[in-house]
Parts: sequence; structure tokens; C-alpha cells
Amino acid sequence: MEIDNHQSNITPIRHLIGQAGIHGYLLLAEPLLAFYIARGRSEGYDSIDSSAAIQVAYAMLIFIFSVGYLMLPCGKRALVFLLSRPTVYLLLFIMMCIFSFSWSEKPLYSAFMGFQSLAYLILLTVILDRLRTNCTAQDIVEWLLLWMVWQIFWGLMVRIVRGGLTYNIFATGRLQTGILFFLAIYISRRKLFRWIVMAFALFSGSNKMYAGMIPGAFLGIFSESRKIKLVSSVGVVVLISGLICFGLKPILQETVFHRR
Amino acid sequence: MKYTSGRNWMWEKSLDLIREKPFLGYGFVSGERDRIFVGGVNTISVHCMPLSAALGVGIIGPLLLFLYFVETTILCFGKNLPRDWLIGFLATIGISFVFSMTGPGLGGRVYGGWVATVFVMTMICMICKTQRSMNRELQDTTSDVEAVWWGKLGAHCWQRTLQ
Repeated sequence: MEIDNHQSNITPIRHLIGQAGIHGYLLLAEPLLAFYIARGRSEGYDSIDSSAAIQVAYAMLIFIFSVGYLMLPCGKRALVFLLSRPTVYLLLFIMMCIFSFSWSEKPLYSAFMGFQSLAYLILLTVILDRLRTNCTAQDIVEWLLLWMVWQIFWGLMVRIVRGGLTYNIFATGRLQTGILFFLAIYISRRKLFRWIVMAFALFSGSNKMYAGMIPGAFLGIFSESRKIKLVSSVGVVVLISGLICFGLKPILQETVFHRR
Repeated sequence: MKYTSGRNWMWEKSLDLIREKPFLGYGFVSGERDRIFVGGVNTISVHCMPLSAALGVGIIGPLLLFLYFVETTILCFGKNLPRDWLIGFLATIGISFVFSMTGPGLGGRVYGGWVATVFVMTMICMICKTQRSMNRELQDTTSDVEAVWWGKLGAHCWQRTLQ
């Protein structure tokens, strides 16, 4: 794997999609599951209905497939990665979460939630390890954006089925789209992915995402791209001028907290 | 604090609960869901990574998560990352951190921004570590004068050869 700042060729989606193998397809199947089984709960949050049972089965499936990969000789590198810093801190935290069943009032629920986190962590590590073996660093980023676009697509499907197309569609994936916002801006070379992720992040209406975007947007001043540098510099000047003229509170009330 | 959509209330209540049981917490996820209510309904999460983690497993939880964020950030400062990649990674860690501090991200169950956050953080670690190990390999194999002579061009070719 290499980071090439001048990778001109863009891997076609049909090639990119299969680079993470069965583990990648398992992750991509998740929003489909959500589309078919999503429902509101009528009973307690820890009750096991058919939807919860499918989630349990899915967590078991990804755990078995991911641990199966770690057992293979080619999975040794992913295992070492999981057990090394800094990922081991997250792993330790998740192990504590699983063992919290011993003092939790709902032991099965706590244990399953911890187990689900573990299954996802291993799955994501295995996917990235397989991508690392088969792709360039650029393609790894593109694969993540492909996953995000896929999530947005199925989120849109859910919204269309439930309430039709309104401005509200931009809130699709509002809890995760913004997290990939800067990968789309600074690193991605696929314009379609870049614009989809940027649009859904910028119009998501999520204040926490907007707050998180401010420091990252200012880092653009140091970018090698003239366009990004220019936009960031203008943003910094506008913000500093605004702060000097109006102060922090009125700006927040008229921007991110408008009508809230 | 009145613009926090009820977070200030949840966070104050969470801090009171953590003070009562700081070392073990109340059990992962069920600890916060059984004790924090908004409008009479169990909350999905308290929307703050350290509080969620401390309610679930005690104060060691948030410490581990902070270490995770700090070490991942430090990893990014490897010499081999092109500038736009470094900026992209730092900005991504920043937005993931802000999101987890104010929304349902790390610290709680697999929901909201959890998968996206773990995915990007793991990717950043993996790319930075691979770059570092390649760099080390590069230094081991090219410790002769020739490599120094060829400078950046030589190093680039070596990287391609080592793949």
C-alpha cells in the first residue's frame, strides 16, 4: 500500500467494491437489513422481538466471519494490529463493556451490546486489512466513501418509503455523514462521492457536525490545493471579523442555533 | 446552555450518577438507559463519550477512549504523510471527537456515529502504521550512501519496490 499524492487513475466502482471480499459485502448488507427490519419499539428497549433477533444473528455472523479471518495466516497482521496501540485501548474498553454484565442490572443486554461492539470492531479491522493488502491508500479512502454513499442511498430509501421526498432528505445519515466530510474534501478524488457526502453533511442540520467542521475547515489553510486554501482563508477572515464585530453569542444564535 | 437540546440536563444528571459509582459504573448501555429519562422515556444515549463510558464501566472507560484519540492523533505526525492527507486525517479525528463528545458516538452502543467513527479512526491508524513500517523498512534497506544521494526520488522508487 502506498500513499501517492498524484494517483491519476480512479479505480472503477465495480472493482473497488469487491476489494474487501466477503467482509466488505457483510458490512454493505447492513443498511439493507436496517431498511427491511427497522421499526419502532412497542415494548421495553431490552425485549427481544424478531427485529432484535435479526440484529443478534447479524452480529454473530460478522463475528464468526471476522474471527475466522483472524485465524488464517493472512489474518495475523490484522490480529497484531488489533492488539497493538492505539486500537488496543478501544479493544480493552470494549472488553470492559462486555464484562460489565457481571455488575449490570441487565446483564444479557450489556453483554450483547459489548459483544456487538467487538464484532463490529473486528469486522472493520478485517475489511481495512483486506483493503490494505489489495489497494492503495487512496482506494481505501474511496471505499469508505463508497460505504457512506451506500448508507445514504438506503437511508434515502427508508425516508422515501416512510414520508416521501422533502428537504428533510438531507438529514439522512446526519449522525455519520459529517465524520467522512474531510476525507471527501481533502483526500477523495472521486467527484461524485465528494459532492454527495459534502451535500449531505452541509445540509444535514446537525449542529454537532457543524461545530466539528470549524477546526477542520481552518486546517485547509495549510492545504496544497489553492482552492481549499483560498476558501479556508476567506472563512477564517470572515469568522474573526464577525467575532470582533458581533461577539461569539450572537453569531452562534444566528447561525448554528438559528430558530432553536 | 439552553440551546443544548436537553444535553445539559442529561450531563448534570450523569455526573451525579457517576459520583455515586465512579469505579464500576452501572453496566454498559443499560446503565444510562435505565437512569436517564427525557420526557419520561429512556434516552438512547447521554450524547457524551466520557459520560456514557463512565456510566457504563466506570472512570477507566473514558481514560481508555481519550488515550485512543490522543495516540491516533500522534500517529498522524509520521513523516511520510503528504500534507493534504495529514490535514484530512487531523480534521477527521477532530470532527469524530467533537461528534462523540456531543452525540451518540464512541462510548456508547453501536449506534449513530459509532461505526463511522471506528471505521475512520481504524483506517487512519492502519494507514499511518503501514507508512511508518514502510519508512522503517526503507531506512533499514537504504542505509547506504546511495539512498541519501538519490534523495526523494530514490525513496519513492524504494517504496514502490518494497510493495
